[in-house]
Parts: sequence; structure tokens; C-alpha cells
Amino acid sequence: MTLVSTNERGIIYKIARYALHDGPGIRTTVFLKGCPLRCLWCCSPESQSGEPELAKREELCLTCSVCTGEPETCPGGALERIGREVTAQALLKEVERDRPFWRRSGGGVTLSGGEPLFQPQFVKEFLQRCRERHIHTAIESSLFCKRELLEELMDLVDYFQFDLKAMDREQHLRLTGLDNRVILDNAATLLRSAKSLLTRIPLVPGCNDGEPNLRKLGAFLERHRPGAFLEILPYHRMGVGRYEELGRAYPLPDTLPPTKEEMERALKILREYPIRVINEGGR
Amino acid sequence: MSQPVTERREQTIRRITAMKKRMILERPTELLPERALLVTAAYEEHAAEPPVMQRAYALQKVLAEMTLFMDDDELFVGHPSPRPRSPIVCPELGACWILDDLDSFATRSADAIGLTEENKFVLRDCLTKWRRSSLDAVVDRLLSEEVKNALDEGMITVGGRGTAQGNISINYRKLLAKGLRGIIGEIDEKLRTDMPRDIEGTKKRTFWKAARISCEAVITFAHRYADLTARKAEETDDARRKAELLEMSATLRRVPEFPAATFREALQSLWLVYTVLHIEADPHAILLGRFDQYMYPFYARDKAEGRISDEDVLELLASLWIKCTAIIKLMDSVTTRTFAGFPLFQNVTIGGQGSHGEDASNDLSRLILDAAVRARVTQPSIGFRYHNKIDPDMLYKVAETIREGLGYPAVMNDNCIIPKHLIRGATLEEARNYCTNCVETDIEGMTDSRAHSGYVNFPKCLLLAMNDGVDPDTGRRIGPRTGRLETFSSFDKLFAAYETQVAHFTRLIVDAYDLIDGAHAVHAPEPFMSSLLDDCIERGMTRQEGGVRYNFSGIFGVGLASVADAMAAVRKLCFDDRSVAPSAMMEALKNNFQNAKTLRNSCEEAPKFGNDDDYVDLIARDAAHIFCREVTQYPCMRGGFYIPELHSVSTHVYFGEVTGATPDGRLKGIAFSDGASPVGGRDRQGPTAAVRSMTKIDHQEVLQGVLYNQKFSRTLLKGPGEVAAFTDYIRTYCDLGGHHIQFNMISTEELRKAQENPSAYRDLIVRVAGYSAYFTELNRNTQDEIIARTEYEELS
Ligand code: SF4
Ligand code: SF4
Repeated sequence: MTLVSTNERGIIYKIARYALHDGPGIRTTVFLKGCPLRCLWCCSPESQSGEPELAKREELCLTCSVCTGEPETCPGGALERIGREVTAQALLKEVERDRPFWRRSGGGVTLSGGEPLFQPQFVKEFLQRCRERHIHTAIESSLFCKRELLEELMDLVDYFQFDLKAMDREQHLRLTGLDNRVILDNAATLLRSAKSLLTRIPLVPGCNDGEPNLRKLGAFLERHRPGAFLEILPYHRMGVGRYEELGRAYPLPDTLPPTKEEMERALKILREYPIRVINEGGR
Repeated sequence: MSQPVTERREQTIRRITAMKKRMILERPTELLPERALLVTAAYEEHAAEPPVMQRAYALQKVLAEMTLFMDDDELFVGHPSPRPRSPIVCPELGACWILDDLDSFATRSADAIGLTEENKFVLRDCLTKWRRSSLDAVVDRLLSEEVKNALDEGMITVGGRGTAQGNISINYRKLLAKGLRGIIGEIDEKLRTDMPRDIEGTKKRTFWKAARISCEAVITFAHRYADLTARKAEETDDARRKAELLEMSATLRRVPEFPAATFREALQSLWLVYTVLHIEADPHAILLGRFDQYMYPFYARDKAEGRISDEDVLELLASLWIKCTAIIKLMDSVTTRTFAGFPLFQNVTIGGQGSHGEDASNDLSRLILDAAVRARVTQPSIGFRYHNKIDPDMLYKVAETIREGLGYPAVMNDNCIIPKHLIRGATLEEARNYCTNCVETDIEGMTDSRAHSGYVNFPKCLLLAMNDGVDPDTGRRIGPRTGRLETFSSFDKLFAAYETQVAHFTRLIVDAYDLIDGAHAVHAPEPFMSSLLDDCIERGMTRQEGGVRYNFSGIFGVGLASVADAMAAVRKLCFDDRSVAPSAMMEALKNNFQNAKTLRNSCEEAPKFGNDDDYVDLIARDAAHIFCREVTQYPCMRGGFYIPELHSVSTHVYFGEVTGATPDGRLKGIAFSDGASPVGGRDRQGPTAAVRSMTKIDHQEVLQGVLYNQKFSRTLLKGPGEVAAFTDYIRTYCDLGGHHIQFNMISTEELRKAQENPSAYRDLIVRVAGYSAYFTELNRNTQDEIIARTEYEELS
């Protein structure tokens, strides 16, 4: 594939260096802004909108007589601008500073979000540039994308990480705002391929932890890649503060993290299938 | 007959717990006059002798008459004072400062030391006799007014003014292989063959005689302990303890006089000698050297022949850690304030290369790590030598031990350090046999590198450079005239002025320390320690006179990141952006940023060291470079030369206290950066970015060492995958040429501090849930949750 430099700018909101949970080795994870889904439990609401936005930490606000409205001049450091534009080339230069760490640990770059595939041109160009420089690439995606895009990505991405949030169409629509047919299609394609990947489920009590969903998930993985790894991510409320800072309401005010019993029940069901279940809480 | 494993282990735990409780946890500190009185009497009895003989007779008297300490559970004995945690008093070295501090020892806020009124009276009486003749009195008469002014102004400190200087490791291999009897044999050979033809020859013979007296005195000391253990054996009804005591007694009849034959003998031999090194002059940081190397043959042989089990070794090593921590050193109130916790900087080296460059780590290295975790005390810390051929399992174990949060092992990089020793003049084989201090490294048994000869206050040098040599805070002239910020046409002019200031104060330290070094040679020789250092006996010179094979004096640069941040801010605001007038900057500094909130904001927004930003990182590199160039040009009194180090121990706190506001936005009195590390909380791009900044400094030319202290959250080291990634992180730091890295595992207590004082913890990353985030950026509830979880993990 030839490199098409489009000078397309991407919008990112964070780069995490020394990331250890987004693929093999020590990784540099780029968080892209914008996501078509609206998962009720989303812990990074700042990633959802595709536009830059402002967050405000009330506890730091000095309530000046006239609010400057600009992070650069806010004396309390209460305002934070989320999201900045970068070109693929500039981003590569920025992340490649970590190359000595990748080399040692077998790490590389991970694109996460939001939904990285929401900015396909930018992502493709960036990944191509990584390929040229022999950088290990990973992507963390909801897999809500066109089939053609996924096929192009198969050549550009070494490691996929994706969530299967709910197997039932209606349920998925209710919990994330979108139909899951494309997602399941894409997931099946990936699982049937030889790609390294990790499937995950955020276990959210009262949302997707019912026995039928878990059984469907187990069966799906069994059908498409027996022996697949499945990681369970117990729901947590670490994102609540972020909603406050953005002035939004938290969609799951009353949901609590799964109890030990709830976790065990889910594990027990999933372990009936010929897949390898990783319990992140116990890692 | 061997016991079942679990029972044996419980016995170790019982012994360790009991010793730790009696010797450390429940032991009050206490200052006792015994050594001071014995030394004073010896000096009086031998008033006509030259100092090196007086020192030998003093050691002889103390060893013959001091109260012997022994704990009921000990398996090897020796302690430098009558009780654990009772520092010894050296009137011959520090009578003046000890007298000055006598009333405050018991009441000072940090590291108070109990002192009864009666003992205070006795000590005052004894110390007063030394008022004119102790080392610190002599040094005080030698130092120039200019040096004293610079000391008063907190521009520099100068070491060794009223205490012996350590950071030294004796030749343990030789001690264990030859025994003191063998050393005496070497001395006798010299006395027999080397007749004085001139004054030098006479001096040599005096030293040899003094060394001989000292070695004999140590043998007598061991026999006193042999008698004591035999007597205790008679008194006890416990059959097992009786057997232990009888074995100890037999051991003490053999070592350290004769070569050690077993692991237990070797340990007893070196420990008794170690104790005596404290009694002789009480320097800080007597190093234990490459313990896993010189002890390994004993361990391997005993194990092969069934004389010892790993559990036995663990028990002995854990006792060693406790016995090290039970020794504390008397320090003055100023030092203690910034140095709390009675650190003695004892150090054990593990890992590293063998003489052919092969991996030298072994089973004993691993046992040392296990023992330290079991003992859980503060001393000695461990320096782990990393190199390219290191066994990956060894590195993994080191990472796991770091996770325990003891603050050690520190990682030392052979790839960077071995070439330094070649530059310093060693052969390749010698260079590969270096051992570690906390950051400094020396070739075991043949180096006297005098770390802490002096410290330079970098940020204050910058303030003088901006203000024509005048301290903007006090208005006093203390440095050379180098112009004012308002008159500099470019940043380079400012940097040149800064260079002049650094050069000036480096020179002052050299002048002062050479005098002190000379005073040590004349007034404070150490005949016993010298007899265990190559090549003192051969040359007939004490270590103070330069008898050791490799000699250096170390000067420390303090506040590198602070000064780089400050210069970057001036460069950006006053020269590149021209958004702040130089006069406004000077005015703001003078007023400690009062009514200059916006200006201070801009200062804080300027690039900061630790974020992989060349704008400031290269200033740090250049500042380090000119310092190294200045220091290394000076020869030192004992032969050899001065060597630079970027490490501050805790002087960055003291220097910060006595320095006004700086252009990086730091207010007056606030501590500077630690070692060469970024200013706490200012490295905000993650650990890999901080590492890249750190390694833009040329560690290779900083011949005595570069300290990097990094905060790390234990939550990032939870699972095996994370520990493995951490080992790769360490490897990368070494690939990039780092000298030393040490990790502070953040405890829940510290997380709470971070909640209260977020600005100092902006760099702290914690694992939240499958991802990591900056702790201070999380909201209160999330923080609380993480604290609760970490607490839970610490318990489980
Ligand atoms: S400028 Fe900042 S501190 Fe002032 S009112 Fe606005 S948000 Fe609060
Ligand atoms: S897909 Fe991820 S980023 Fe998008 S809404 Fe769901 S949880 Fe949030």
C-alpha cells in the first residue's frame, strides 16, 4: 500500500506514555476524540464529542469576578481544554520518542478513544507511517465501522482490542444508542482471522450481566474462535467526576460495581464455554 | 537432624522479630559518654606520641575496656557502643560542635537522642578538654573568611569539618582470606625490611606500628566476646541456645584473627571488623561492598557440604540488616533536620559483572533480597548492578523487591559506570569490581573517593549571576561581579555569568577541602581502617595521607533541575518572548513574587525539566557539563583529582531554605530538586518522558554519579506482566546511559498527602481500572476509592 499523505488532521485528547494495558509491552496510547456510541457506563465522556471542549474543576475555581473562560489564563487552573489537532506526521514524531522503551519491551503505539475509527483517514495515514517505521500497532475500538475499513486495517494493525458490550440488538441499542449488527459482523471477521486480539466485556450490573447475554457471548466466541481470550472489566464509577466537570448528568446514577458474588456468577457462566476468561480485578 | 521447613522458618521469624523489637523498635536512643572518656584517657596517657599512635592507643583502650553489647538472640556479635541505637561520641573529631549541640540532642524535633543530666555533665566536662585540639577546632582555624561567608550564605557546604568521612569499603576478600594475623604478618615484613633513611621512612614505620597495635587490639576484642559468649553458654538452661553460644565462642577464638573457613565465620569476622571501623572514627557509609561476591565461595562450599541451609543464611542475613540499623551516628542539629531517620548510608552491592564481564549474580544475591524484605528495616540499602548479560530472573526479582516499597534496591548501570572507573584510572578488571554507595561507586577495598567534600548551590549561583554577584534576597555581595540581567544582550551572556559563579564557588570548596583533607591526614589518621585498604601497608601511608590506590574528592552539584527550570523561564520570558522586562523579573524575585501573580504564573508555565522538552533539557545538560568541567580540573590533596556528582542527599532542602525566590516560580525557602531528578510534580508527561529528559544529561562525564529518584505507584506493578514491563523500563533507562535509578513506591499514606498537597504530586500516576491516570487529576471520590483499594492491596 502506498502512503497517501493527506495532511488530514486528527483530533486527540490525551497521550498516555508507559501504558501497560493496551496491548503487549510498554505502550504509548493515543486517545482520539469522538465516538458514535453513547454507552451508559462510559467512563470517558470527554472522548465522545468530536469537537474540542472545556472541562472545569469546581474545587479549583477561584470564582473570579470575571471568568476568563480560557484555560491559558485561568488563575485557578480550573479550566482544561480537552482535544487538540495534530497531523499524522507530527503525532508520529511525538510518540516515537518512546521507541527505546518499545524496543526493549516489545511494545508500540495503541490508538484508543473515543472511537479511533471515527477518524478513518487520519488513522489510516498514521498507521501506514507506523508500518513504514516498523512500529508495533494496536487499536482499541468498538468495531463500529464499515467492513472495507476493517479490511484495510487488518494489514495495518498488529493487535486488536474490542468490547462486545451486548449481544442482543435491542439491548445494545438501549445501552449504547446503536445497533450492533456491524459490530458483531466485524468481530466475527476478526475472530476468524489469525490476528492477535483481545475481546472484552465491561460487566455492568443491571445492564449486560444477565445470563442470556453472557451465554450468547460465550457461544459467539466459541463459534468464531474457540480458545479466545475474554477479559471481564468490572464496571466502575471512576468517571463520575468527569461528567461533573463537563457539566453533564451521569447516566447510571444508581448502578454499583459488581459485587464479588456477581463477578463469580458471571465467571462461572462464561467458563462453561471453551474460551479463556481473564478477570481483570484479579490480575 | 534437620527440622521440618515450616518449623525452621518460624524459628527465624521469632528470632528476627525479637531482635528487631529489642534492638530497634522498642529501643530508646541514648547518648553515652563511655567512648569519649576512654579516648580522652588514652590521649592523656600517650600525650607525647604522634597522632597516628595516639589513635591506635585510643582504639586499643576502647576495645579492651568498653562495655560489650550482646542480644539474647544474636548468632554473631559486635556492636560499636554499649547499647543499640546509642551513637558513639568522638571528642577528638567534633568536640566543639558536640558541645554546642549538647543541650539540644534530647529535645530537637528530628532524631532526638536521649541524654541524662548526669551524662551530659560528664560529657561536657570531657569535651571541654578538647575545645582547642579537636579536629573541628583545627579546621575552624584553617578556613578563610571568604569560605566561612560562603558557608553562612548557604552558597556551599564543605564536608569533613568535624567528623570522619566514609563512603568507603575495605578489602573484605583479603580480610577473610588472610585474617588479621595475616595482615600483621604483612606489616611485620615491612617493619623488618624497610628501614628509615629519611623522614618519610620514619613516618611509615610509625604508621605500621600503629596499624599493628590496632590489629592486635581487634583480636583481643574478639577474645573478649569469646569469653562473654562462653559465659552466657554456661548460664543458660536452654540446650539449643547453649549450643549456639558455644559455637559462637569457638568462632570468635578463630576470627577475625585467622582466615574464615565457613559462611558463619566469614560473617562474624567481617562484622566484628565492621564494628571496629565505627569505633575507630565513626564515619558514615562504611560500605559492605560486593557481599554476594566475596561471601559466595563460603556459601557455596557450606551448602555443598551440608553445613548450612538457605533458611540459615536468611536468618543470618536478616540479623545483619537489623544489626546495621541498630547502629546510629551522632549528627549535628542542622544535618539532622534535613536528614531525619538516622541514615547511615551503609550499602550492600549485588549483581554486576565478574572479572571477565560475565554475569556475577548468584543465589546469594537472591537471598540478600529475600532477607532485606524479611527484616524490613532501613539499613543497609542495596545497590543492584545491572548490565546487559544480567539474568532476566534476577532483574525480575529486583523489580519485585522494589515493589515492596523499602526504597531499595537502587539500580546501578554497569554500562555507564565501568567506563567511569577506566577514566578514573582503574584497570578493566578492577573497574568491573566496583561496589556502590548510595549513588557513588568505588572499587572495593582500594578507593577513597570522599563523597560529600562539598556541595554547590546551583540556583543561588544563578541568582548571583542575574544580580552582579549580590544576593537579591539579602542585598549582600557574595560572588564575583558578573553584570546584571538588565545589561545582558542574550541568554548566552546570562549563562556565561552563571558559569563564572559556579566556577568561583567550586574553587572555594576545593581550597577549603584541601585544607580539611590535610587536617585529617595530620590529626585524624585511621591506622586500623588503613591496614585493610590497598595499598596503605605497601606504601606505609594511612588513607588520610593518600595511601589508598585510588583517591578522589567528590563535589556535589545541588538543584540541577531547579536551576534549569529557572534559566528556561528567564530565557523564554526575558529573551525569546520578551514578555517580561528583566527589571520586572528582578523586582518580583526580590519581593518573593508578592503582587506579581501573573508573572509568577508565566514563570510556572515556562518549560520544565522532566517532560522531554529540549528547550529546558539542554540547559540542564549544559549546566551539568560546565560543572563537571570545573570540578575535574583540580587535583586533590591525596593524589587523584576532584570528581563531580549530581546528588544532593538532602542538601536541596537546606539550600532551598536559605535561597530567595527563583525565576521558575519557586518561592523563597522552598526545597530545590533532588539529585538530578525533575522538580517534584513538574514532570507531567509520564515516566518515559522523564527518563528521556534525565538521559539528555551526559551521565558518563559525571564521574561520581547521577541520582534519579522516581516516584512510582505500586498499583503499576501489580501483576507479572506489569513487573516484566517495569524491568524493560529499567533496561531502557540503562540503554539510554543512566547511572542510577531508584524508585519510591507510593504508599497510601503518601497518596493522602498528595490529596492535600497536589502540586507536589502532579507527576504521580496510578492505575485506575485497566488504565492509568494522574492521581491529582482525579476527583476526590475517585482518589478516595484508589486509596481504599491500595490500602486493601497492601494488607493482602
Ligand atoms: S477563570 Fe478559572 S478560576 Fe477564575 S472563575 Fe473562571 S474557571 Fe474559576
Ligand atoms: S464506545 Fe467507549 S468511548 Fe464510546 S461511549 Fe462507549 S465507552 Fe465511551
